[in-house]
Amino acid sequence: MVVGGGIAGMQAASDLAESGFFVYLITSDDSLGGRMARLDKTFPTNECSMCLLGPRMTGSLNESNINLLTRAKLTQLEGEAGNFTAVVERQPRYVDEARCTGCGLCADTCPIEVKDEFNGELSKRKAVYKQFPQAVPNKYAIDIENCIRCMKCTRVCSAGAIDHQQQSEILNINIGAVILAPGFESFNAQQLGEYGLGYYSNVVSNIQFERMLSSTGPTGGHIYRPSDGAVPKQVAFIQCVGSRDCRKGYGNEYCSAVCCMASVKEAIIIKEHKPETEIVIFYLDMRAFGKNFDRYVNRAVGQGIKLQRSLISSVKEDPITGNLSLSYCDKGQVLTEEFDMVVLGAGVQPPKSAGELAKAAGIELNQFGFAKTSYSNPVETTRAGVFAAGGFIGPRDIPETVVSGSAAAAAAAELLSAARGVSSREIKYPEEKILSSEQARVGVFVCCCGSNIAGVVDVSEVVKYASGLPGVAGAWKFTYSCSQESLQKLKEIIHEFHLNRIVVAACSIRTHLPLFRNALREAGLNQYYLEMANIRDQCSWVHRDYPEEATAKAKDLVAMAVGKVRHHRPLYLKPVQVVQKALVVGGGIAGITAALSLAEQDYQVYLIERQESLGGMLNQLYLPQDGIKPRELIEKKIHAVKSHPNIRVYKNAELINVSGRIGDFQSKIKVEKTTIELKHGVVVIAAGCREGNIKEYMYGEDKRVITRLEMEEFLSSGNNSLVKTVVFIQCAGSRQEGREYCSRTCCGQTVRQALALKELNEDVNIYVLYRDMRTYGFMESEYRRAREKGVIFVNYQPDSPPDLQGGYNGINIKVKDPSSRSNLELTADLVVLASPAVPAEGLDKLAGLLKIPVNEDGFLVETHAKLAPLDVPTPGVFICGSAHSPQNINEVIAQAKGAAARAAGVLSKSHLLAGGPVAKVNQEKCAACVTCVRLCPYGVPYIGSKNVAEISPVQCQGCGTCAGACPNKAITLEHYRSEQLIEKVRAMFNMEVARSE
Amino acid sequence: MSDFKPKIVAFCCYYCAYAAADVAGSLRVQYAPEVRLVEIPCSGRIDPVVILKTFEEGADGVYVAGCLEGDCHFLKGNIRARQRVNYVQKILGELGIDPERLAMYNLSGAQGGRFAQIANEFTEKIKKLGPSPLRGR
Amino acid sequence: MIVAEPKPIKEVAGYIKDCTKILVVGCGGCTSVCMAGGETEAEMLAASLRILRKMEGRELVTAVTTITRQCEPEFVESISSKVKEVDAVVSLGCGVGVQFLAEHYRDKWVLPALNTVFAGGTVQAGIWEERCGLCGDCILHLTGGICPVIRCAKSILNGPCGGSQNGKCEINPDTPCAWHLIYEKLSAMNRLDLILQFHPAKDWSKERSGGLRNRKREDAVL
Repeated sequence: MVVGGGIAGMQAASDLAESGFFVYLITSDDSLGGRMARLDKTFPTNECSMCLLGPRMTGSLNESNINLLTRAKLTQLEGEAGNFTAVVERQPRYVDEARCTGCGLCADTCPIEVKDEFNGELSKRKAVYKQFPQAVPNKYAIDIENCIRCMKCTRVCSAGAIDHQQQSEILNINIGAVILAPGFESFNAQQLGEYGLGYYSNVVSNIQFERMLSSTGPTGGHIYRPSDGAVPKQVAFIQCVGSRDCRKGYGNEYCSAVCCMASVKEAIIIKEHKPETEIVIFYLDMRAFGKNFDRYVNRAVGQGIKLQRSLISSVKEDPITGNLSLSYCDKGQVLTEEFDMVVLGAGVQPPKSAGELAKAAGIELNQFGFAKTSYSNPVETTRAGVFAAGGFIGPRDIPETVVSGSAAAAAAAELLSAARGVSSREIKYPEEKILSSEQARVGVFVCCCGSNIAGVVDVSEVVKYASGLPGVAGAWKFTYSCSQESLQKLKEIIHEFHLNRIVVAACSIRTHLPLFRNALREAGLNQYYLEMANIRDQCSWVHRDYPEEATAKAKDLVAMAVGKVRHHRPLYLKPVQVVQKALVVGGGIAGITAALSLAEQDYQVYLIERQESLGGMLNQLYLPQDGIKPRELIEKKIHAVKSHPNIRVYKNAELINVSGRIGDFQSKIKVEKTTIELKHGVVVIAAGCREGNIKEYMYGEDKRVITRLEMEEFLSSGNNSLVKTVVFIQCAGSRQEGREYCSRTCCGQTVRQALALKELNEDVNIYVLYRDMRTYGFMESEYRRAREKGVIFVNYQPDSPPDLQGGYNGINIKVKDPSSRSNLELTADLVVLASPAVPAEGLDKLAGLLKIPVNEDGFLVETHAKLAPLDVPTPGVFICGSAHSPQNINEVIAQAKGAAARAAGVLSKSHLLAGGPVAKVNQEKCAACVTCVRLCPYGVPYIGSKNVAEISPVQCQGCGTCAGACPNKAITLEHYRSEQLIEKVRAMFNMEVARSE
Repeated sequence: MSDFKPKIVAFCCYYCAYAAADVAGSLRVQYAPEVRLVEIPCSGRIDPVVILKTFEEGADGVYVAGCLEGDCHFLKGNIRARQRVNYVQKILGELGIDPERLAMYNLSGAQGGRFAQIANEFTEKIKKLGPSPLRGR
Repeated sequence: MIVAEPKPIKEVAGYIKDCTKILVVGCGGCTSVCMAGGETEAEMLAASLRILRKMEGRELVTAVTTITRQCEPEFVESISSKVKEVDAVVSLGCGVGVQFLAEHYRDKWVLPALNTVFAGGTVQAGIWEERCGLCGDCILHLTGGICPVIRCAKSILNGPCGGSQNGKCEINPDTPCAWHLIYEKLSAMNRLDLILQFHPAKDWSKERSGGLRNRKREDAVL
C-alpha cells in the first residue's frame, strides 16, 4: 500500500506495479498530483509542471495493478512486515465515481462559492468542485461542510452521480508493506507578522504566486497585484521565510532546500512575461546545489535579476499606493527600496496529518516532525515493513522525491520478493481491428493546452482547416487532450466515426506519445496509427508575438501529420525473452547498494569494479554523518555483498564492450588479463566521482594546504596538537569557469570537519571562507552548531577570492569581506580546500559504450531531469550515484535503491516486447551489396543463407542509418519510410496535396 | 524581398534537435516561425531522395539537424547524415540550385537556445537567397 | 561486377529534352552494388530531371522502376506495360542493360544515364577499383592472382619494366606497379620461381578486338 498520491507515491506505486506487485494507492485528496500539481513550471528546465504530471497521473490511474482510492486515510496498521492488515477510512465524495463523467454541470449550477485552497485562496470554487482541471480521476466531489443541500446539483446531473447520503466506509486491506508518502506542507507565512502576509494585499506566498503563474490558476497565468490588478513593475522575493529560523514558534530550524531555486524560477518566468520587470531576490545563501542549478541561477543574473544577500526583517506598506518598502543592509549601508509586490519564499514543513499518520502506521517522527529514517537507508522508518518517501522524509526537490519513491519501492520489493507476481493482473486490450483494405479515415484532435496553445494559435481555425484536409473524417478541439475526460472522448469518437488514423496536435512526442498510443490500443486500433503534431513546444510557445504566423504554422504541422499518418502501417511487437540478471558497474556505495537491493529481490547480479578493492570514495571518509561512520558502513556492506549468493563480484574489471539490447545484453569484461563474457538483462551504472585537481590556493606548493579528503585522514589520525588556526576555503575549483557546477557535498563536509576539530580542541580558531553555505535540509542544524561553537564564517565574492602567501609562521590569507568592505587578514597553520567532485575517470568512455549522453560537466545525462532521474535514453540502462551528479551518501543510497527498482521493473518480466519501428529488408530487392552490414553501428545486419541481408527486429535499434544508405531501397525503416517522410513534407505545400488527390 | 515568407523544412533527430526544440519551447525562446520540423529517429535516417524531393515540393531551404559529432545516440548516424547532405549539395549545384539552401547542423538535446539560433540563422540566410527557383512551379 | 558512374545530370536532361513522359529504370544488379544505378539513384535522377524541367517551366512526367537485372530478357520484358506509356526510357544499367532494353523495345528511345567504366570490385565502402580487362584468356594462375593485363599500364606479360619506381608505376606515382605486386605476392607464397618463367604472347584473338564475343552452354540451351 502506498499512502500519498503525489509524485513520490505515484513513482513508488508504478515501480512496484511494474515489478509484479499489486498496489493500493491511497490519497486523502480528491485527485492524484500532490504538491507538484500546484506548480506552474519546474526548475532548471522551466518545463510545464502539469504537462509532466498529466501523463503520470493518467498512467497511475490506468495501470491495472494499481487500485486508486481517493479521500482515503490509513487509520491503523496491524500485523507485521510481510503480513499487515491496513485499516483504511474512506471519506464520502458524495459523487459516485463510477457514474460521474466530469461534465461539470453540477459546479455550474451550485450556488455556493468558497475560497479555493488549491489556488492559495486567491480564487473561488463551488461547494461541488473538481480540484483542478486536469484532476485524475476526472471526477467531481462535494465539500459537504459548505454544502447547503439545495439539491440543484442532484437535479442537473443526468448521470445520477450525486449522492448526498454517501457514507464513509472502513476497509480492511491485507498487504505486505506500506510506503508513506503524504508529502509536505508550505509554512504558513502569516505566522511571521513582520512580512505582512494576509493583511498587506500585495504580499503573497510563493505557492500563491505559482498559482498566479499557472494558466489554469486564478489569474490565468498573468501576474497582477492583488490590491489593484496592476502589473507589478518591481517585485521582491524574500527567502528563508519560516526556514533557517531558530526562534521557537516562528518557523523551522532546517533549510527547506527548494525555495532558492523556486524563487529564481519564478523570477525567470516573470522576466519571460515582462522583461522590463525589476526583480530582487533577498537571500541568505543561494542554495543552487543540484544538477545544472548554478547555471540556471547564472542565467537569471544574466537576465538582470538582482540577487541581494540580506535578511529582510520587515515589510512596510504604504497604505495609499499599496507599495511595500524593504530595508536591507548592503556594503555596510542601510538602504530602503520600494516594491509593487513581495513574494515570500515560504519554506516547507511536515503535513499536519504527520502525527496522526505516524501513530496509525506505528512509526516515529524526527525532531522536526518528518518521518524518522536512517542515514544508511533513507527510506526505512522505525517500523519494519513500513517505508517513507518524498517530502515526508525531509525537504527535497522533485527528482529527489521521485528517486525516494523508487527507492521505497525497491525496499518494499526486497521484503516481498517471494510474493512477486502472485497478485498482479495483466492488461487486456480489445482485439485490434484489421484495417488493411479500408481507406484512411483520419481523426484530428487539436489541443488548446489550456491557454498554452490557444493563447497564441487560433485553435478553431486549425480545427476547421484540418477537417478539410484530404482523408480527414473529422476534427475536434480539446481543452486538455491529455485529460482523462478527453482520452475517454477520443476513444468514443474513434468508434462513433469509424476513425482508423489519428492525429493529435498538441505537445511533444517525448512526453505524450505513450499516452495517446495507449488510448488507441484501448480503442482497438493499432498504436502506430497515430501521429502527433507539436503545435505547442514548436509553435505557440516559441512564436508568441506572431499569432498569425503561428496559426499558419500550426496548420502546416497538422497537415504534415495528416499526410504522414495516412501512410502509416500497423506494426506489431513480438515477445522476446529477458535474461533476468543485472550487471552493476562500479563497486562503491552506489553500486554495492544497487547490487544488494537487486540480489535481495532475488535477481542474479554481476558487480564489476575497476579497482582492486570495493568501497570507492567511502574508504576515504572517516567522520560520522548523522551518527554513521562511512567506513564502517561500507565495510558492513562489502561483507554483505561478498556473502550474498546472488552476487558475483569481479575486481580489477573493466567493461570493454556491450552488445544486445534491453532484456538481453552481452558484455565483454576485461578482468585482469582475461576477457569474460556476461549475459544480462539490465545495466546499472554506478561509476561514482573523484576528487578533481586544484590549481588554486597554493595547493601542491605548500604542504600546509590540503584538500577535504586529505583532511578526513588528518582528522582520523588524531595528530593535530600543533594546529591552532585552520582556514577552510569553499568552492576551490567548483563554480568557476570550466566547472560551472556546485560540488554539493563540500559545505556539509566542511561543517562536519570544523565541528570535529572543535571537539578535539575547543581552542582551535576556525574560519570558513565561503561563497554560499549550502548546508541544505537538516544539515542546517550542524551549520548552526558550528557557529555556536565559535567557527567563524566569512563570505567572499568570486571576483576577489582569498589571497594566500606562504610564511614561516603559517599561511597568510587576505580576504575581502563584502558586507563590511574591509580586508580580513588571517594566519593559518592549515588550509583546507573544498576540492571539486568531478566525474570518475573513464566515465566518458563508459557512457560511449552504453550510448549515454554526458553533460558539459562530464556527468551522465538522465532521460528527464525531473521525472526520470535514474533512466537514460538507452533502454535497459539505469544510472545512480555521483556519476549522475555529486551527491551526499544518503542521497547516493536512495538513488542506488531507486535504480534497483527501475531495473527490477525490467527483470521481473520473463518477456519484453520488441519490434515496431525497426528496419525491414525487402529481400526481393536486396542486391547483397553489403552496405548495411558495413554501416550499422550495432553490427545487426548480415547476409544470410539466402544471399540477401537479414536484420533482426529484436536487435535493431531503429536508427534507420541503413535505410538512408541502401542503394536499391530494399531497406525501409518502418514508421519512417521515405514515402511517409515525403508525404509529410508534401502536405505542407498544400497545392500539391490538392493535386495528388 | 521583405514580404517573402520562406518555407523551411528541418529534419530533426529525435534525440537532439527535436528535444532541443522542446527545450526552446519550455524556455519560451522565440525564433523565426518559418521552420517546420520533421522528426526522424536519427539524422542518419535521412536519405538523399527525401532531401531532393523536399526541394522538388517547393521548400526554400532544408536542413538536417543531428547530435553533436561524437555524441550521436546511434554512434555515427550524424556523420552519415553530413556525408549525404554534402552529396545532395553537389547535386543541387548541378541542377542550378544554390547548395547553400541545404545545411547540416549539430546540436545537443539540451541546447534550446542553439536550436532557436539555428532556426533564425538559417531563415535569415534563406531570406537573403530569396524564393527557391522551384517555388510555386 | 561491372562498375559504372553517373553521367552529368544536365547531359541526360539534354537527351530527353523533347520528351514529356519518361521511364527511369534502375538495375538491381551490379549498378546497385556500385551505388550508381539502384532504385535510390533512379529516384534521384528522376527527381533531378523533373526539377530541371520545372525550372524551365515545363512539366516532365516520370515513372521509376527497378528490375532485378537489366541483362535478362525476362526481367526486361516485365516492365513492358510501363515502357509502352512513355516517350523514352532512361536506363541506369550498365552498357549491357541499356542495349538489352533498347533491343527488346525496338521502337523506344533507350538512353544511358551512366557511363560504364570497368569490371572491378569494392575495395572499401564507397570505393571501387578495376580488376579485370575481360581479355578472354586468363593467366592469373601464373601471376599470383594479380592481372598484369589490366593493372599494368603496358599490359606486359614479363615484367616489371624499367619504369617500376619504388613499387609504383612510372606513369602515375599513385598506381602500384602490377609486377611489383606480383613479385610480393609470389614471394609471400614462396613461389618466386613463377616470376622467372617466360610467358609467351597471349592469344589476343579472344580479346574484344576480335569482334563480338558470345558463349554457349549446350546443356542449358532451351
